Amino acid sequence: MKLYNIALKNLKGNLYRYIMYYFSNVFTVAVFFIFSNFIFHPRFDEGPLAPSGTVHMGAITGITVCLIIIVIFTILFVSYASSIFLKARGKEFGLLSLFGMTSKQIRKYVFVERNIITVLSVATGLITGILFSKLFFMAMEAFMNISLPFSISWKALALTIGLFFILFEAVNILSLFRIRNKEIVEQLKIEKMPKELPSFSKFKSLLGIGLLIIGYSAAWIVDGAFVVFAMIPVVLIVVAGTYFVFTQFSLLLASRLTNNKTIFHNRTNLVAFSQMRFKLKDTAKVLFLASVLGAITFTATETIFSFFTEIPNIIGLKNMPQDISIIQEGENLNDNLSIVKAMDILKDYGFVVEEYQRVKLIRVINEKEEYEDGHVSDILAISNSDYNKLASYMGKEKVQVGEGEVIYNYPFRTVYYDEGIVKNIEFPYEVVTLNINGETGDFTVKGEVHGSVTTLLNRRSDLIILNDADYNRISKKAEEKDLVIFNGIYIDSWKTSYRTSLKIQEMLGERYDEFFFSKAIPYREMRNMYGLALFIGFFIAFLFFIASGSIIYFKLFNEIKQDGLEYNILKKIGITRKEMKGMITKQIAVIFFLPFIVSTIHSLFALKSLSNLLDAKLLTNGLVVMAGYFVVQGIYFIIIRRIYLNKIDHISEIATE
Amino acid sequence: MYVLETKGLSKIYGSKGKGLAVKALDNFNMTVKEGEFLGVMGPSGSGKTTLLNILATIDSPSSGEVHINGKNPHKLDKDRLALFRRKNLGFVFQDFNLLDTLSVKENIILPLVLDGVNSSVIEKKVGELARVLDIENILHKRTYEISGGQQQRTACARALINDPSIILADEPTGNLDSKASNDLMEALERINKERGATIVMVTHDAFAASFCNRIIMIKDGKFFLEIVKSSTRQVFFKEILDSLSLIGGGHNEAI
Repeated sequence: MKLYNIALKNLKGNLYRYIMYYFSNVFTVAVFFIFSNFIFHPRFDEGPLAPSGTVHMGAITGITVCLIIIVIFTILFVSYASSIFLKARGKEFGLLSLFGMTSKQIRKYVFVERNIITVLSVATGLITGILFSKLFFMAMEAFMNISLPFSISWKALALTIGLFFILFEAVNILSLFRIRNKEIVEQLKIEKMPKELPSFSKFKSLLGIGLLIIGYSAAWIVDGAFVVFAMIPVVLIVVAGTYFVFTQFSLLLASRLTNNKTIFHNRTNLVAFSQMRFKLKDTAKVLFLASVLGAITFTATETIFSFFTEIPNIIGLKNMPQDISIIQEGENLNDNLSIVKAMDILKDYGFVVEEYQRVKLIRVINEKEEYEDGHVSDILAISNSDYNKLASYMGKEKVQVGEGEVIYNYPFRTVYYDEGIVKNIEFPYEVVTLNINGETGDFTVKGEVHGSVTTLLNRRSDLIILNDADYNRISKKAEEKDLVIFNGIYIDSWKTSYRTSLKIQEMLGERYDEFFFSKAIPYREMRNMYGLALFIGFFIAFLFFIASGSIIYFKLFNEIKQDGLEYNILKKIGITRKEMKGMITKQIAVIFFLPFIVSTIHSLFALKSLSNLLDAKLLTNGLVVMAGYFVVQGIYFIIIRRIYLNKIDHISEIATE
Repeated sequence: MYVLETKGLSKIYGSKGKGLAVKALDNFNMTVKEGEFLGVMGPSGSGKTTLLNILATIDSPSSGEVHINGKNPHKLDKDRLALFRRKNLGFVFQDFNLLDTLSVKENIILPLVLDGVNSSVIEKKVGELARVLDIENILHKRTYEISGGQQQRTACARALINDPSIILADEPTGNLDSKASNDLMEALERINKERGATIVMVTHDAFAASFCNRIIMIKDGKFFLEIVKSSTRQVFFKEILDSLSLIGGGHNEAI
C-alpha cells in the first residue's frame, strides 16, 4: 500500500467532512468557466453585438469584475477551509507520527490528499460548467437580444484549469507549512482536553450592542446625499458591533440563559443549552464572518433588485405623464395620417387607448432670458384650458391665469438645498417679455407649478401657461414654424408595449426620430440591463452563500466526534431519539440561522439607507429578497441536519459496540 | 420475586453468513434479588461486558430473555426503551461518562431534568446524595476541575438520583488509583446497605469485588461458579482470588 492509497482511503472515510468543501469548489470552478467561456465567445471578437452598446459593455465589464471577485474569494475561502481541516486533524497526525511517519511524509500525505480533491473539483467543475454553458448563453441571449451559438472556448478552458490548479496548489503548499510539530502526546490528547467554560466581558458585550445601535440609527436617520458620506463609517461601526455581539454578547446571553433555572432546568434544555454555549464560543468568529459576508450578499442583491423595480423612478419615467407621445412640428406638422396609423397599430396589438390628448403649443421667445452672447431662449406656450385638461387627467390641480398674467410650469419636482436655503423657485422673474415674430408683450408672472404635464423630448420641457384670450391673440401671430402639436396617448399597460412601440417607431420612420417617445423602450432596455446585473450577481451571491454555509458546516462537523460520544452517554442514561433530534435541531438551527438573521437585519438597515438615498420605499424588495434566501438557507439547513444526524447515529452506534 | 432475571441468554456475534460466529454468551441464567450487591467476574473475552450491555438494554440478546421487575425491556421500541432506562436503570462506567459541558451538579440532576421533575424535589435529592457520596463541596465545579475518584462518585450520584431498580456498574474502579477505588467501593457499599440499592457490578478487580455480597464468574460465555460472602471482606477477598486461579487465564491480569 502506497501513500496514495492511504490518502485515498482516508478521503473516503472522511467524505462527510470534505463534501461541502468539494461542492463549493465545484460550483466556483463551474461559474468561473461559464463566465469566461462567455467573455471568450468568438462572436464578441467582431465588436459590440448587442443593440445597445451599454448593455454589451455592461455585460462584459460586469462579468470580468465577477471573475476577479471569484478569484479573490476563492483564495480566502480555500485557505481558511484548509486551516480548519488541518486543525481538526491534530490527533490523526499524532497517530501517524506515532506509527513512525516522518513529518515530511505527513506533509506528502496531506499534499496527495489535497491533490485528489483539487483534480476532482476542477474536473467536475469543468464538466458542470460545460453542461450549463448553453443554458447561460440562452439567458444572455434573452437579456442582450443577440444570438449566441453554443461554443466551448479553448482559452476559457485553459484559463480555468490553469488558474484553479495554480490557486489550489499554492494554497495547499502554503498550508503544509502550518502542520506544526507538537509533542505526539499533546497531539493525541487534543480531543480529550475538556474545554473551559467560555468567558466573556460584559463591557465588550454592551459595546457591541451600543455600536450596533449607533450604526443602525445612523443608517435610519441619515437622509439624501449624506448617505454616501455616512456609508463607510456606518459599515465599520456595524462590523465592529457584529464582532463583539458574536464573540461576547452571544456568550453573555447564553450564560444568562443557563443561569435561569426555569428555562435551563427544563428537560433537554439542560444539555442543549450547555452544549450550545461551547459551540457558540467555538464558532463565534466563523459566525461573525458568515454574517458579514451574508450582509454584503443580501445588501448587494437587494440593491440591484431595487434598481430593477425602481427603474421608472431612476430613469425619470415617473416624470413623464403620457405613455406614448408623438410630436408634430416642421415638416410633420400636418402629417395627421401617421397619428391615425399609430393608433391603429396600438389597437391591432390589443392595447386600449385610455386617453388621447392633442394640444397645440406655440414657441415664443422669452426676452428676459437673454444670454451674454446675444442668444435668446424660446419657450413653449400652452393655453390655460389645455393645461387644465392635461393636468386634471393626471389628477393635478388646475390653475387659473388671468389676462396679462403667466404661470410658469417647471417639469420636475425637485427641491434642493443651496447653502442651507430651500430653493424651489425656478423662474425668478416678476415680469416676462414674450416675443412672437417681433411682436412683444409683457406679462406678470403669477407663480409657478412644478411637475410636467407633457412628455416633450429633446427640448426644454418647461411651459408657460397663458390665459386663453392671450393665447389666442398670440396664436394669430404665429406662423407654421412656431407651432408644435403634442399628441399624448395613455394606454392600459405601457410596460408590455415594447414590441408595439418598436412597430410604431418603424412606421413613423426617420423623420420622427426625435419626435416619438414611448416609455416602454427605455424601460425595457434598463430592465434588461438590471436584469442582467441581477442574473450575473446571483451567481456571485450564491457563491458567497454556499461558501459561508460550508464554513459553518466545517466547524460543525469538526466537533461531531465529541458530540457523538456525548450523545452516546445520553443514550445510556435514557434519552429518546426524538429528544436527541430535537436537541441537535435546536443547536444546528441556532448556528445556521443566527448569522442569517443578523445579515438580514443588517441588510434591511442598509436598504433603509438606500431608500433614503433614492427617496423610495424599498422594504417590500428587501422582504422579497430575504424570502428567497430564506428558502435556500432552509433547504441547506434540512440537508445538513440530515447528514449530521446520520453521522451522529453512526458514531454513537460504533461507540456502543 | 427477583429484580433481575435472565433466562437462557445467548449472544452470537458475526453470525450473519460471513465470518466466524463468536458465542459471547451461551445459555446464561442469573437472578438478582432486591438489595443485592452482585459482582460479575471473569477473564477477558468471557462475555462480562456483553452481559452488562444486554442488561443495560443497549444491546439485545440473540436469544433468551431479560426480566427487570418482571418486564422484558427488549420487547419495547427504541424510544420506550430509552424511557425505560431513564426510569429503571442507573449506570456507572469505567470512564465516568460525564458531560464536560455541564457542571457536577448539572450532570447529577440530568436524568431528573430530562423527566421534567420539579426543581425543589431535585434540590432535595441532590443534597442528600451529595452528602452520602461526599461530593457536597464540588457540586458547582466543572468536570475537568475534579479528580477521577470525585468524577466517579459524581457518576454514582447520577446513577442513583432517579431511584433506579438496579444500578449497573462497568469496571467502576478501572480508571482509579487504589485510594480512590477504596473510597468509591465504600460509597457503593454504603448505598447498598443504607439505601437498599440493588447493584450489579462487572469487574476485573478482586479487591473491588470483595465489597459485593455475591460473585458470579463467567467463562467463555457460560456460568462458571458462584461464591457468596459468608464472613468478613478479607476472607471473601481470599476466596475470590482462589476462584480466579481456578478459572485460569484471567487470573494473572486480575491481580
